[in-house]
Amino acid sequence: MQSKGIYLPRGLLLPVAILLAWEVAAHAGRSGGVLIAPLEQIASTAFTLAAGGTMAVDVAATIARVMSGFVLGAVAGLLFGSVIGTSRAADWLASPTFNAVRQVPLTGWIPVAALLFGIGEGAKLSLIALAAFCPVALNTAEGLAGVSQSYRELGRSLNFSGVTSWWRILLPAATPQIFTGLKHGIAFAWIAAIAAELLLTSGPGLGSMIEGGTALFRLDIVMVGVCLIGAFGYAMAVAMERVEARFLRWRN
Amino acid sequence: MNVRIDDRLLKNDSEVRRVGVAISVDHVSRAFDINGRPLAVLHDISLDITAGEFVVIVGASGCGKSTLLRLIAGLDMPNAGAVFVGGSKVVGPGLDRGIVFQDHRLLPWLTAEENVAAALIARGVPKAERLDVARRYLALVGLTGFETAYPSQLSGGMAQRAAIGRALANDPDVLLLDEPLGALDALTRLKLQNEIVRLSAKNPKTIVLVTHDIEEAVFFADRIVVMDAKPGRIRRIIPVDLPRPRDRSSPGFVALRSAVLDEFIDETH
Repeated sequence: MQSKGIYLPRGLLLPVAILLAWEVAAHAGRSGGVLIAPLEQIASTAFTLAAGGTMAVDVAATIARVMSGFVLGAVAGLLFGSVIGTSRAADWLASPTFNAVRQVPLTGWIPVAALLFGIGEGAKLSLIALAAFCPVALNTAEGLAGVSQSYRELGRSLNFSGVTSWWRILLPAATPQIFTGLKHGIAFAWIAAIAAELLLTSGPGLGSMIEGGTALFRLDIVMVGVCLIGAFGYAMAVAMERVEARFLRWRN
Repeated sequence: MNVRIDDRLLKNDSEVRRVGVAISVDHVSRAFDINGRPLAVLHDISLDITAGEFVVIVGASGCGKSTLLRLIAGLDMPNAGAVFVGGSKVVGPGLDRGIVFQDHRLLPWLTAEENVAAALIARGVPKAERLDVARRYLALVGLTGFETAYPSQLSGGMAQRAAIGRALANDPDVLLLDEPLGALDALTRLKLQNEIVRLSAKNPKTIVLVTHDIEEAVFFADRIVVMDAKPGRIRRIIPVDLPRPRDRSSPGFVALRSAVLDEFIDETH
């Protein structure tokens, strides 16, 4: 289907077309009074924001927030998931509550966090941590509980103690699924961070940057923010996959 | 020294075990709960296995031969009766019994040598020594050069060799083999049969092997235990006096193989 006359890689075809359409619409819209910022204006705004140092401050604030919230939520999720994935009694006691809590979409918790912690750092961190906690806890628990009977039996035949069996068999066997949880966790934490910054605007951050741009009717600022969110979200997903690949080398 | 140990056993156990008996299955029954109804899998099985003996258990599927092996391994407990290994009542798995399953059960996140070394963890052997021992046993089963390969990089036959190495790594008195070659292709199976004979000659152990392959049973066994199904019972014990190494095409071998086969054909009538 590919003709030799097209030198663009297939994956770039659609983005280039969209950018072209955007550019055409921006210039056509200018006369009609619609506020579509042309690409060159978005680029120059990006440059100004970067040169002025505010972009770095916003990016650093959001990344720091996401990282601390993710670490908090992921560690709690690993611990909680380990307990309910290992102990039937804990599963019986805590899983119904956990399954109910995780049905509430993240945005549903934003007012709760605001009332409990205000609009400062505490509210944002708790939302990001909760967003990371749920997928990590769920996948850790399912991963551990789903370890095949034959591996458990092997541990018994090698006279492994409960602790040895957990550390040497259950945990490594569950690791692929735990990483599925961590990958979802970092993606959800990123979504939560932006949502929290947009709705609980205080202090620097990419969400605040977009919110500020909206208030000024500056689509160029908003689009710079959106591009940064996409780029850093993608970078975090790639970083997590790298970590996963290191841990799961044995799979290939 | 031995006398003192025997005295202690006599005091603690009402049963007196014969000298030289490595494994004693004593009036063992096992039933499983199938939808609330008990299904008798083994009914009143008794069997003494001499130290150094190679016993092969054959029977149609569902005769409880694997269950019997699991009871000796201590992975399952009888409802009645008891199993004794080395004079002690079996209450659970132990490192005096190495086991090889039909699936190799190598842990996919460990290399071949780490898998074999895992057998020594429970004894508290330091890691460097564990790996040393593991490499020795990998060499013994013919896997030199594959020490750091992951199970996914090994063929089925190689993986099963590594599993045999793991079962031998603690130098157990008893080796339990649960259809260890059942999942392999015919050629690999033949090769590994010769390998098991070589290993058992080099390093004599009490071996109990479960199989549905009659030729394999005649090839390996000092005694063949033929089992009946529903409920599992010992139908006949056939001693095999053929000289070793065994020639599969010798008249004695062929005759015995058809005699054992007849036991199976009778069973269906």
